[in-house]
Amino acid sequence: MNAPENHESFDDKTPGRIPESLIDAALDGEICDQMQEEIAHALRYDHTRRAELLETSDAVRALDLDSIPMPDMQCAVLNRLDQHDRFIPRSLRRWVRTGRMAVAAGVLLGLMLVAGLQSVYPRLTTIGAQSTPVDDVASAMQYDAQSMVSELETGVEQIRASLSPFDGFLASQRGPSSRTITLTIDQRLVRFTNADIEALIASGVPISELNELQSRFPARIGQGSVTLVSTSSVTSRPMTRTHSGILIGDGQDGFALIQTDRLDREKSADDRIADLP
Amino acid sequence: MDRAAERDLIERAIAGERAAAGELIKAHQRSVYGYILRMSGRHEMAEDVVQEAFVRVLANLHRFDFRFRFSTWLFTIARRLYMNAVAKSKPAYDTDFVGSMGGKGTLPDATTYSQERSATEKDAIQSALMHLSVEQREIIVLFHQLDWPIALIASHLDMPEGTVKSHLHRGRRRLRVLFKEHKQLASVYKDHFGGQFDQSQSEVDEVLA
Repeated sequence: MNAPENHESFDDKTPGRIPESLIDAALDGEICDQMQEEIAHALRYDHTRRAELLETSDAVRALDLDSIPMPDMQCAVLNRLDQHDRFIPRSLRRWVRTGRMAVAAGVLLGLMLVAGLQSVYPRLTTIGAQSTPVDDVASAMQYDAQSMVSELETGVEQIRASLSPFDGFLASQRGPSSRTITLTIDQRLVRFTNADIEALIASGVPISELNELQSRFPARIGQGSVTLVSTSSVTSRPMTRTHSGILIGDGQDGFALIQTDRLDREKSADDRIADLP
Repeated sequence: MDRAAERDLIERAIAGERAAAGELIKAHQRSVYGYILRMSGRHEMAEDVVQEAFVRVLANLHRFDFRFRFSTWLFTIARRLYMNAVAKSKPAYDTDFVGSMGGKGTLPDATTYSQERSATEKDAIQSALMHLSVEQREIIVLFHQLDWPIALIASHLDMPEGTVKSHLHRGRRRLRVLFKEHKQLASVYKDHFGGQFDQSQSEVDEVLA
């Protein structure tokens, strides 16, 4: 090294002793070759400095990098870098980046679309049925009403079928203004319209102003049920109100009891058929 | 490795060539590992820090400024990681302060030594280094172990060159003394624990004194 030399000279302070700064400069590599030779020469006579220099050299030598046992970290580092997708070829890197951005944009657009739909059609984007107590009650009532209606319709149809002579009468047209009479027979609701009553009267069933109903259809009295039997021979039978229903017939050809829980008349002031208790 | 070869390796690694990154690691791992090991005195810490430094540097290789040396960048990252690790793992202490606390002369007693790993001559240099101040240790390692010039060390440590030299000279003198003592003790303990201890206790005491 030929760096500028501003260290002490040999004869400073202690005659015969090499200044420490000179040794330091030599160890720093900052003295010229000529000065190095001078120091080497002087060290032959300065045993203290010589010993110190040797000891220093010994310590510096012990710092040798090659003496350090070192694990190979190449694989470990590269494996960790692989987890970061560091080594993607440059030609593919653009596509990979574009693809990632496209996926991210797609996800973002999808979310925005769902959010938009949610605001417009809240039920459309609802995942799964989210029932509420009110919904349950409403749907249960609707279901019960439907089943009841269908049951009643079945019952009416059965009764109408049993009242074969009534066919045509009961099925006749019922105007919107026609009055209906609701007769509950054996827990079943049977609805007679005005037209039905008139048809009954026209067919020979006298219905008096005193709530007497005559029928040519005697019925056999059953336990808890009424079976109407068509009997053409029975005509003009008087109807008697009893505590349990309407009794039709004079007793000669038998009675027909229309057992009722209730006999209603809707929207009618006509007392051809009176309410039963 | 010359700068042209290093630049070529870096460019290939940036392009995604795994082998080039492997070459960079191979070229620098010994020096940076030696640096951190000498600073910390702990192999496991040195390994963790160096691995993390390589991962960070190589993951951000596209940001590398070719005006600088790769090793300088790597060492700066490694040094910062080491400082963070030290701050997290234990409270820092000043070895100069600890050394000035006295006791029996300038040498620690035999019990202290037995707690240190100074059974071999290799450990003697590490033990001696650990008794220097952090600045002295770091500058000595960079200058004598890694052959960094004073100017680069000053730049790396953000320190004036005069201060670097001052630390270097004082640290080197101290290292000389400490290494000599540690080596002697290592030799004694090696003989003693290796079953070849034929010195009398008075001789050991003499060494310790």
